[in-house]
Amino acid sequence: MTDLNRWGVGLLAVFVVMALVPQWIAPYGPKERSAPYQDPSADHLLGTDDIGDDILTELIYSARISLLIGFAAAAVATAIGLAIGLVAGYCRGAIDELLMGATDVVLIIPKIPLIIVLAAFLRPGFGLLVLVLGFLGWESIARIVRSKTLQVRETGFVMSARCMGFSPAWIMGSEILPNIFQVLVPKFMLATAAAMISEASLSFLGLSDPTMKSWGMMISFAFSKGGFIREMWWWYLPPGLCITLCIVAVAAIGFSFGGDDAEARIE
Amino acid sequence: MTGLLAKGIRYAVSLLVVVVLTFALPRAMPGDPVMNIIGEDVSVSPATLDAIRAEIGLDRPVTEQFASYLWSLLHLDLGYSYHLSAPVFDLLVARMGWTLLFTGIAIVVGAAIGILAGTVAGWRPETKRSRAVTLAALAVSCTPPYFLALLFLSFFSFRLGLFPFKGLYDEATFGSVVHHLFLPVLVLTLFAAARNTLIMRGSVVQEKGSLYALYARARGLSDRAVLFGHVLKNASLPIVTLIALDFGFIFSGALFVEIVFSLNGMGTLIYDAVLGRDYPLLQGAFLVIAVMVVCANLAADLVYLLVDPRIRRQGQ
Amino acid sequence: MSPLLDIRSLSVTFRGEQAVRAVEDVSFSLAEGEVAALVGESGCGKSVVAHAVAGLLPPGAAVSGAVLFQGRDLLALAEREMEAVRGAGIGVVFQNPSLALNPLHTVGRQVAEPLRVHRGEKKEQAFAAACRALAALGFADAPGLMRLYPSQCSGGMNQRVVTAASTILDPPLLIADEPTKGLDRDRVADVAGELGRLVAERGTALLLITHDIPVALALADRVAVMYAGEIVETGPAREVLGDPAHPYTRGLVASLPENGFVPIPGASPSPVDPPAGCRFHPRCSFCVDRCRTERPALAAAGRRLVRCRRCP
Repeated sequence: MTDLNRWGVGLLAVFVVMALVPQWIAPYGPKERSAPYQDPSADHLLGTDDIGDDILTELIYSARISLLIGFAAAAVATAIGLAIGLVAGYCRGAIDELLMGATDVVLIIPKIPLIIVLAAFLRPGFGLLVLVLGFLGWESIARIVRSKTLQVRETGFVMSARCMGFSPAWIMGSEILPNIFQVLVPKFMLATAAAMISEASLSFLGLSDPTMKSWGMMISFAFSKGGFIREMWWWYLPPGLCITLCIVAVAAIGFSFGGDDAEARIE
Repeated sequence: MTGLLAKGIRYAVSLLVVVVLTFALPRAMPGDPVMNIIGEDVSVSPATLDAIRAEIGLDRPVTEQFASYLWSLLHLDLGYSYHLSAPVFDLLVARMGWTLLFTGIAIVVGAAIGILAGTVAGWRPETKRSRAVTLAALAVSCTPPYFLALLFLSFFSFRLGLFPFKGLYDEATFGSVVHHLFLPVLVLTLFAAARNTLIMRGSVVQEKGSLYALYARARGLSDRAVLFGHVLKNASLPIVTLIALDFGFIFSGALFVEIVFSLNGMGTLIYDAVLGRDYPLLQGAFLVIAVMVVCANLAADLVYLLVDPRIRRQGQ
Repeated sequence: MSPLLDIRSLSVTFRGEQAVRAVEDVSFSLAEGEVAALVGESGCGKSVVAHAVAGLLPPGAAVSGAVLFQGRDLLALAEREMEAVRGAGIGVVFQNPSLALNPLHTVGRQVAEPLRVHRGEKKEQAFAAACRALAALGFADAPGLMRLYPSQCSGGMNQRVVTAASTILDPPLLIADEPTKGLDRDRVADVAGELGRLVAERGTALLLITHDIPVALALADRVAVMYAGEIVETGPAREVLGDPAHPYTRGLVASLPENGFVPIPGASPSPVDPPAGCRFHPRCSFCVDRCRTERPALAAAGRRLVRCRRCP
């Protein structure tokens, strides 16, 4: 589905621009305030929230945290999954059993409840949140990297590299890694989508750092500070749509890269 | 049989990891472990605090503490919620019935819808209809469940006034409960169905290219007969295990849907525990959910054993 | 008398990012009760011919020419009509029988399936017939076998199960697609012997698709040798394979272990962009300038047809 891919890239580009240069697009600065609970008007296209912030401005500035957490957590998850999958697939035998056993163990632990408990105790800032989300999202990456490594290690060029006495680390890095890159890209995108959903869920519960304003947190405030009861749909609808569209864009890119199999799903 | 044993060991290790986490977290966190164990913002007298301190026995060796922690877990003692002044286990048991009820409905109905929609989308993936189904499933599965719940609540309840917007029932009749639960169950079912659709689609795409499907055609079976007589059963097999793995995810979704619809299930209990930093309740809920997830996986393994002759044979 | 199967200038192209011309202008016929073989290396298009005859090509394949079976052009049939031909008129046996059987259904159910689909027979009746068919293929405990799943049977058992399922409706034509691929030497002899016996007993015509020249020689009356999507030589099996005329056929025969394992130099050409002129010319030691530019036609030489300018 190449059109799906094109749409995904286009949509994601819009959000990336929002995340990179919000000051060029947003009608107000992030700290400018006016009267609270305003309806949409020419001055405030999406009205204002409970403390008088312009909602459109908030929406644009929130893209940065949402995207950053998603991609950073996916990077952590990919790094862990890659390392475990490579080693398991390359060494096979007991090490493989052990690592894949550990992967299965982590796979079963219910993620969202664990994240809630951890977040309640840790009150994570940006870095910690990224680590927590990353540490809980690497299992499917490890599995696919392992199965791909098992295939690639039997091919001629890897065999010959082994015969020439290259070190396992060198072979994994320069012979096998480039060949599993194509399965890694879609997995990375799906991990990003999953991390973004988790972040949105956490901030809805009010469990993320209140200084990091994200789309999920906007919905959380709309829900808890009266926006929902007052039917101010222009407050909670846009951030929700942004979350969905952004995650669809990311996942669509992942799917169209060939992650189109039973493994390709959002954990 | 060895496969099942290996799985059993993995489940046991998973549970052990969960227990170790809940044991270690309050003790490893900065601050007074006793406060971490009982939760913040609680008013207890210094005498009670001392009694708790003595009971937990922080001065004893860690192994001993862990042993006594395990011992109490085995006796279903998950701690005491000082916020709600009740044992955590009783609180959870009282609330989880509703959550399990609508998680269960959503999983079963969602699996049925997902298998059907995924089959349609996977059998002829290039048609417009299949693409529309796939895109819709992708969109729903990429939406946080609470946002989907908010959308449905604001549209069907606030705007159209078709459904009540909070609570489980007005009066304890079957009709009232159905009326109240319809929207939350619908949201959760859609969410489960969307995930299953994507999985089933991939599975059907894979299975229809297999040799047995071609050979079935070669024996003169119609497309429809190949799909329903051969491909469907094989393609649904992975769904069985994935549904079990998904149980935790759908259950978590249920927690959020409950919060939005103000249903008195485990979700609202956890939400209140988060707001009040009621740690014992949070940990207890996590433990109970983990146990349920493991049970769901065990059940799936047993079902798999019944339906897949390949595994059944290994077991003999 | 018109032949049972008459393939007339069949061409198959797979559309995709690059069009793959898998089969080009293949004509071949088969009389009732005759055994003929299509031989060639993997990728030469011989299996594509078989799939085209049985109407089993994937949707992306463009097929031209005609496949006349009992006087009807199969390529012009609607899918519904083709379903009636498959199984009842034309049986197919695939290589790798263990993958061709559905792992989730019992052996008995799959052998009985054609009876139920084509003749609408009741379950008991169909199962009884399936049981007799399995017993006829030499299974001592056919009723017990009926209840087994393919994963509980050996590869050889599954092979015979597939044969039983494909011939249970007594089709006048059986297509065997690489029935001996991946088997060791003893098993090859067993399978070939079984197939030969079966078609001889029932008078079934057999189109054998194989890369295995001794098997073709043992079973087939006539052979067609395919290279890069074309037939390069066809005629009586003993003549063509015993005294090959086309340089490719000679190379193929010379590469047999008993003839000294002499490989053909070079590799098969890409089906996306086949060589101009004679498709074999880059690997041919008799190649002259004209071979590089002009495509040779199949020309009669005695009882055979050969696609080579240098052959008498």
